[in-house]
Amino acid sequence: MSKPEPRFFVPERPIRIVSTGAYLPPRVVTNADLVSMGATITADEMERMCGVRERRYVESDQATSDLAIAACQHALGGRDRSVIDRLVLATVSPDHMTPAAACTVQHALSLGHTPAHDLTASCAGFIYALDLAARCVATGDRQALACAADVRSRFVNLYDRSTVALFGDGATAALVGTGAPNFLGTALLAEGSGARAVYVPAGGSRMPASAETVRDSAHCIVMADGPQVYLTAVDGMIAIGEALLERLGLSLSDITMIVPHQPNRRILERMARLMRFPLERMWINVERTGNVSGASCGIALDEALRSGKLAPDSLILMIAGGAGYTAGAAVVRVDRELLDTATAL
Amino acid sequence: MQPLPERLRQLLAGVVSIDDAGAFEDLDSLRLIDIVETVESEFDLRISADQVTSETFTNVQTVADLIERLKGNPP
Repeated sequence: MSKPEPRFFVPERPIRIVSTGAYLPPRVVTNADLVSMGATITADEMERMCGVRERRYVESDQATSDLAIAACQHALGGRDRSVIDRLVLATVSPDHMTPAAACTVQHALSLGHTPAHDLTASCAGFIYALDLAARCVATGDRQALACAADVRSRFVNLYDRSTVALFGDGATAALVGTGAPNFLGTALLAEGSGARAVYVPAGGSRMPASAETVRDSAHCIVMADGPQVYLTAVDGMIAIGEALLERLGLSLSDITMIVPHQPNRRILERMARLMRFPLERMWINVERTGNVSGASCGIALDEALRSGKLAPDSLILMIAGGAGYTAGAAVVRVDRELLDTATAL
Repeated sequence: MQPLPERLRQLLAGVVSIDDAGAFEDLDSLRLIDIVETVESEFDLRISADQVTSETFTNVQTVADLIERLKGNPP
């Protein structure tokens, strides 16, 4: 990847994350379960490769919108939904190719005629959605609901040693509004030269679904080049995080906790080492959740806010990077109201 | 002093299978990451994405070329 030149959003109008939510489906799938399902890598190798011990999978009758609805309900609690002026759902695994899964979520949440749409930014999905929600509020929306949800288990090739252990299912949401500001800004970028580094070959207009694509598992995730993906993910996430901090006049020493996307534990350990940031101040849940694509970062944020490990004025740096390539960063200054809301919901 | 490719062959023998021509066998992401981290640790280097191609971690000689390049000794 060439030198990153992200685009920043630092709002002039006070923007705050009002509340957050997350949902993980109850079905736990361990590494041993994957082996018994046919995976060709041992449970120990899976853990050593990516640090994942278990992940959550949906049941056969669940889809992405079901997870998104649960996460949004968690974030909203009993709040007035009539002031939500937009719903944006980041996903790479919508219920259907058409329409947007956000429309199903919008209806289930009884959001009236609130505009609702999907966006696709892979593992940076939640930060892209958060950025868009904040921009919407900055330009007049009363509140916007940013959601990220993915069912990756439907797209995992059990016989691909490189990817079989990585992914899980889940969802997250953040309600964004005005008030005492706690949202400081975002940085986003895309680098399309890496579009084939991690991708699902079939099922779109380039390679429509057919008996052959199903036979060849071409609708499953392909990670074309392991080391470059690994190195690019690390370099990209560090670069965009540092760029946003510089834009905000902050440095890593100001950051209380890094809440990253959860690609795999080895990437997170490398990030912490290269950033000289204590690993124990990086929120890591990948051993329990796996990589939940665009939802990972928001699930981790929601857990961190509910953990009791953050105090008012803590600064959180969220960073994510993934297929596309896409990357995003966001800085949030935690306040008492956000912590109280998190623990009350 | 031991030639770099030979030193690398010995160093990486515990990480990945290496054929007589120096090519890595049965590569997967687990072993590739191990190779990157082993080389970085042994030679006190940081390897970045823009310094490698899809061919870099395929055999002993290309990894040796990368190390020489990163240490300022282009092959």
